[in-house]
Amino acid sequence: MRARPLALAATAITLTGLLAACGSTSATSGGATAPAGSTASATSTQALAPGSASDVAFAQMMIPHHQQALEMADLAAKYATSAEVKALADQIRTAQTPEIEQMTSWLTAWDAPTVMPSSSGGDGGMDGMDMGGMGGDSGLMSEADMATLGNARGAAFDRIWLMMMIAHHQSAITMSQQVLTDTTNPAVKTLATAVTVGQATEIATMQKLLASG
Amino acid sequence: MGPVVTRRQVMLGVAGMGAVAGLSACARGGSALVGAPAVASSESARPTTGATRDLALRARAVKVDLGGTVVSTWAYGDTVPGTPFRASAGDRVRIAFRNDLPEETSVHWHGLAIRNDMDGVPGVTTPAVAAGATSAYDFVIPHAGTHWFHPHHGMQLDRGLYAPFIVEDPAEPGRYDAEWILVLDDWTDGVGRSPERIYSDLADAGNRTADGMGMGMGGGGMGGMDGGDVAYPMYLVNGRPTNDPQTLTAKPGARVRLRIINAAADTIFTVALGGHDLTITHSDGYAVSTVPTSALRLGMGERYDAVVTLGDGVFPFVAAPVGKTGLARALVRTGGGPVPAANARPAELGSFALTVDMLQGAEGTALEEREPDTTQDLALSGTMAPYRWTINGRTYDDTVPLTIRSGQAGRLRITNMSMMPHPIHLHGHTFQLGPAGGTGPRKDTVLVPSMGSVDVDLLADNPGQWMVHCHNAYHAEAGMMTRLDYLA
Repeated sequence: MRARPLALAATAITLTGLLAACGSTSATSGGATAPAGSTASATSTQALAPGSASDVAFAQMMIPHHQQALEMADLAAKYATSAEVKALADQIRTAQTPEIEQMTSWLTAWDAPTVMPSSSGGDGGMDGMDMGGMGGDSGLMSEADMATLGNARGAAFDRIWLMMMIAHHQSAITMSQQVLTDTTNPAVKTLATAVTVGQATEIATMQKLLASG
Repeated sequence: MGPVVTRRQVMLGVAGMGAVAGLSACARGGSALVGAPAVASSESARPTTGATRDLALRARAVKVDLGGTVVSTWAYGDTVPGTPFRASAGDRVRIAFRNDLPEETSVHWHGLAIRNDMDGVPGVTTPAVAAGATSAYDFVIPHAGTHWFHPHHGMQLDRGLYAPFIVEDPAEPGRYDAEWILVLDDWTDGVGRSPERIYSDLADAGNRTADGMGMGMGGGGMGGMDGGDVAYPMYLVNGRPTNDPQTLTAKPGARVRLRIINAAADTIFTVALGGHDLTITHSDGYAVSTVPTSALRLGMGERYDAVVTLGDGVFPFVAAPVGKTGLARALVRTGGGPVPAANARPAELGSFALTVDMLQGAEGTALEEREPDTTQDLALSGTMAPYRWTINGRTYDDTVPLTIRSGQAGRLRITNMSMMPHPIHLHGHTFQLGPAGGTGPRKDTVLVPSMGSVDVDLLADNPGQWMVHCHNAYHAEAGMMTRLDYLA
């Protein structure tokens, strides 16, 4: 099907759907068990479990995604007018910098490249579904969107930054939830759960800031 | 949108309901569907104002002037869009409908969580209205908001058959001086190919490509857009192209409530008002946290209300089709000044567009906090070749419906496995984005991003059989629909 990590997950979802459609009460969320807010810090002292193809793809996609968040945080440090936005940008930098280091160390340990071999590849000509998407499956903000943010000033900067960071966080959560449907690697589980929970909390904060702006 | 409706199901009509249900796994398990008495009892429990509003509504062939090009199309009444219908929450509405089209049709009241047998979905809720026949719709409106109506039959929505249905909230203070309804549409009828022809061309191109190992980009060179499958010759605001825009005349400083409805069949729009920010106040009829934005993105079937305080001059309200070439617009005039060029794109349009995931529900709009009794998945997928769009891997004629029981809390986990966004619409309910009792806004149509996912919670408080589908009319016709069936 379309992109790498989803192909497996999709099968599972379809099966669940068929069962659930018959009125069974399915359990709530899947395998996310790590406590909220825990960061995946202690794992480096333990041996890293092998990474599956979807673990590798997750790290390869999430590293540039996090790097873009840091880029946006840097812009906020320069141009944000509200203290709340600046503080949030700091918080994001503090959370995501070690996560980038950690994911990079996984890929090194797994002997996988830290960048995807072909960042847009994989879909081939199978189904012709690559329609550009809104953000596509990389979840990254487009260059045009980054330019819009970089050129904005004043209250408009804060507002656009919050809107873009909400969208950016949403795609990080989507990627994390996808990998959580099939990963068995404890380190991946911990980090993906931390991203899901931590960024959902930040989204709520950003929605509130937007509404008061 | 209509699609409910494979030819076979139309022929079966209401009698077909049992047969369709009988094929589903659930019905095999012995669970019967909820019946007419539950629908009637739910209706009689709705609070009413005691007032009754009557509407004589006629679907007919008309000629409309699109900026100097006169085309024949189908419309409600004499105009595109049809005259807005207004009522208040709690009113009983009686609609005497006459079908003067050359083929059968139906009317679906999009966004109104009304009694199931008035929902206007042939083969599921309400019999189709034959050519030349009349039909009576009679229901109590449960809640306020910016809604609309359109056929739920084949590709008819992609003609001129649509009109606003505005439900006023008697308790809401009128904190604005004027109101402006803005209905967005993608237009081909009488200018380009007919909607039916576009659909069959998409299907044919898909089949040829699927047979021939081609590139998979169907649609006669029109695929490959992130917003939709079809390039339209015109885009309209309130039935008018860019060279003949509707003009709102007001005083500088006036506070105007915009009610924006995306009635397009295949087009997501980004809208902006030159020189102004829009302060978003409602989505799909429910109040949201008020957020100012330069640009706003609406999927097909979505509605947003916004408030704006007008400056002094002439300003274009523009709607840019996402991933397509073209523009729709209207004008605001509060003072002197030249009319902007027809293709003028105000800077606001280039800003980052607000989508619903940036909003919270306003206080008092959340569902009661509750863990779901049942959680069910909708996996969205599809291909251009063959031209086939599915939910949980199935087209509608082969669907396994979602099920729920009256009083249950339900969660739908919607996962988009395709590379284009899909506006998913649930009939008869306004779900909450995210968990019930959380901060998410209430919606009946949600644009699920490509490769993204959205969880929504709902309360099963309106018994019946309800369509759940993509509001891209071409995708729906190609199978991207299922139902939420109440079990007895």
